[in-house]
Amino acid sequence: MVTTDTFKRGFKNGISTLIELSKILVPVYIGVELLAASGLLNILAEFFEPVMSIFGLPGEASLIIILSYFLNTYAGLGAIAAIELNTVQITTVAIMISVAHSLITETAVVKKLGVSATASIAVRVFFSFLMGILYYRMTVIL
Amino acid sequence: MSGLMDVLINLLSFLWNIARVLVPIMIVIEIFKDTKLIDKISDFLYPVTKFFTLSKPAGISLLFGMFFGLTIGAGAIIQSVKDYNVDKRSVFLLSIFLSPCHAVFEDAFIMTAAGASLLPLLIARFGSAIIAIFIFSRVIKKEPIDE
Repeated sequence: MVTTDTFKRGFKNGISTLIELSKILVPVYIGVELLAASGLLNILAEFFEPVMSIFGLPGEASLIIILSYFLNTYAGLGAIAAIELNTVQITTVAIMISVAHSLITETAVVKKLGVSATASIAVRVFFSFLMGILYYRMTVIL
Repeated sequence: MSGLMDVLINLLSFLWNIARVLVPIMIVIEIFKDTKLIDKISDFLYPVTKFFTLSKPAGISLLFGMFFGLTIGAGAIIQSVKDYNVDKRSVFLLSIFLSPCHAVFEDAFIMTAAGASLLPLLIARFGSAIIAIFIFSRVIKKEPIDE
């Protein structure tokens, strides 16, 4: 049964998710801006430039992927907001972090089901890279 | 000083964009839950779960995970193991599918708010999951596996 309560719960969930999200997103966003201002982001970017160019991404985008893999997509989003990217690049990196993220916590959940952590992580990282490359290549061809 | 203002405005507009997407999505998800639409979709999708050599109750867990996220999906899987005796092989296949492909719509809409295109995102996630489960469902024989 859909009642007004349904809408209230939905609204409440939306707001509370937004608050949860902001708790991570805002500090990461500020952190990335500080990294950029200090010049450290440049060093990281140069280091990862060769790998990131496979996906048509600037070196700075490596930070988005690292944050998402180890923390979560919200942290990755904070970095996306702070780093200048075009639509294709945002989509590429969004694909990569949607497929593989929060690898530490989510793998713990999967393990609870009795499934090997290696299988889960391997599948996710493999497809994260594969889909990232595929999408970038397709936009180049089209 | 204007640099600092830019940062602040950029951040606030980013959060606003996400709020605009997130709240409606959460309401839609609640409507889905309350109308038991999931059960109906799962009947409809039976041929698909069969193709991946999964049992029908396993299909319901799959849908739950796809819509509501890995934790809820895992909860649904644990419950379905208790309720319907879902075999270990199905649980493994479900987890392989859900690993790259959970909370798909919520995530995708948030990413769209950040500036990504929707369709490639959905295709990439479903694509990854479908290819992965297809390969594993053909490789692993239909008998209890030791993991």
